[in-house]
Amino acid sequence: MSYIDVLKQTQNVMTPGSSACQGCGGELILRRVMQIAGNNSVFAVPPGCMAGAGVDGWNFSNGCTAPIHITLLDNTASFMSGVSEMYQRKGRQDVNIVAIAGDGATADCGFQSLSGAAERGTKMLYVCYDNEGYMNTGYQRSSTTSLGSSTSTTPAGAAINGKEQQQKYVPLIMAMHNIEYCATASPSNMADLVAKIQKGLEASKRGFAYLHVFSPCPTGWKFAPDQSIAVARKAVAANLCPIWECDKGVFKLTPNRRPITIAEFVAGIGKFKKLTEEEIASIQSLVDERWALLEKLAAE
Amino acid sequence: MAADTQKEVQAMLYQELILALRDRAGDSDSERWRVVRPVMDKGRCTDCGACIEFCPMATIFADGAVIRIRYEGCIGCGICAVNCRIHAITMEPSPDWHN
Repeated sequence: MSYIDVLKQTQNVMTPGSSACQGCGGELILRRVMQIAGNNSVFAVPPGCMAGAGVDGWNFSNGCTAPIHITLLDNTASFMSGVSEMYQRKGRQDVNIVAIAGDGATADCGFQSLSGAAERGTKMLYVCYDNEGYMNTGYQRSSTTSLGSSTSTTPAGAAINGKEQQQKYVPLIMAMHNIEYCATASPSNMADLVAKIQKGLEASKRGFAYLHVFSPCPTGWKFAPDQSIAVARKAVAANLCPIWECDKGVFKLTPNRRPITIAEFVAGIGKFKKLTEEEIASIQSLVDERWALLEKLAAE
Repeated sequence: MAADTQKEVQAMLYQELILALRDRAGDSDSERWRVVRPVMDKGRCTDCGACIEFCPMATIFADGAVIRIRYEGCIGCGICAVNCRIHAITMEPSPDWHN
């Protein structure tokens, strides 16, 4: 069955409509993960855009047909460790244990609980939708924000020119935890995303599975809402979001057939408006080094 | 409970939930403030499903083999129109939009 047939035939766990912004990448990822996981699942969504947009029901206008917990920003993985343990002891291995968190709750605040759950090999799937910042509260910088991004805590102006540090690359850190399954994906490559969610759910029955999904944010990044998928597609082409998976320690890198430069990627995105030539070159060298490292890992 | 029966019950509950929410939606429906809405030209549409793939709000659905748009919940972002390979979806002014 092709992935389109899967999407046509499976029901949405969350009813249509929510209060997310127009063109939200996070919501698309959330719905896909929930749809593939199905009703026989327990979800955890920490505070962030998706909890704020009403994943558990909003204003009596929509709802969710599976159990969902709004955890704290920093304890999603440890909370789900407990839930997973309980289901294992009850003999309910059929239930999917899924956490869906933003990059703030994954890379910053929730990192120690995530790292702990990964090290323990808790049987769950953790999905991070990486929109490069704390979007729910008006785009503050996070550790995955790209260099030179103008955010509300690092505004481009006379003193600084956007974020001064390079982004932290979380998926490789998670792969180094020797987890069952680790992968990156993008909503623009939907067939790949659906396959990876299915693979991650399957791996979550044996151990910890982690999925890092690139999530464009029209409101925070300042671009037209209908361009969301196009921006995600460009990020993949520019190697800012390389698509790879690590299945039980074996790396597989999806080749990039039509690579573009970072300069082409940042064109038209408001948060990168004031990027200097040096900053573009700096991001370019970061993504080139990352690609070279991933190629080496995949070659072994 | 057998797996099939469980699935049937879940499908029934989902339909009931959607119907109950639709009754209550009333004023909070996005029709009031959505400026443009997608209109599908079924003459050109090949039911390929690319719009289902990318709709963040899950308002586009498959009615058997035919793709349709459910306007409750649609906020008019335009992703479906941009990603339609044969340009069968156009964004047109929303008729019930109140200034």
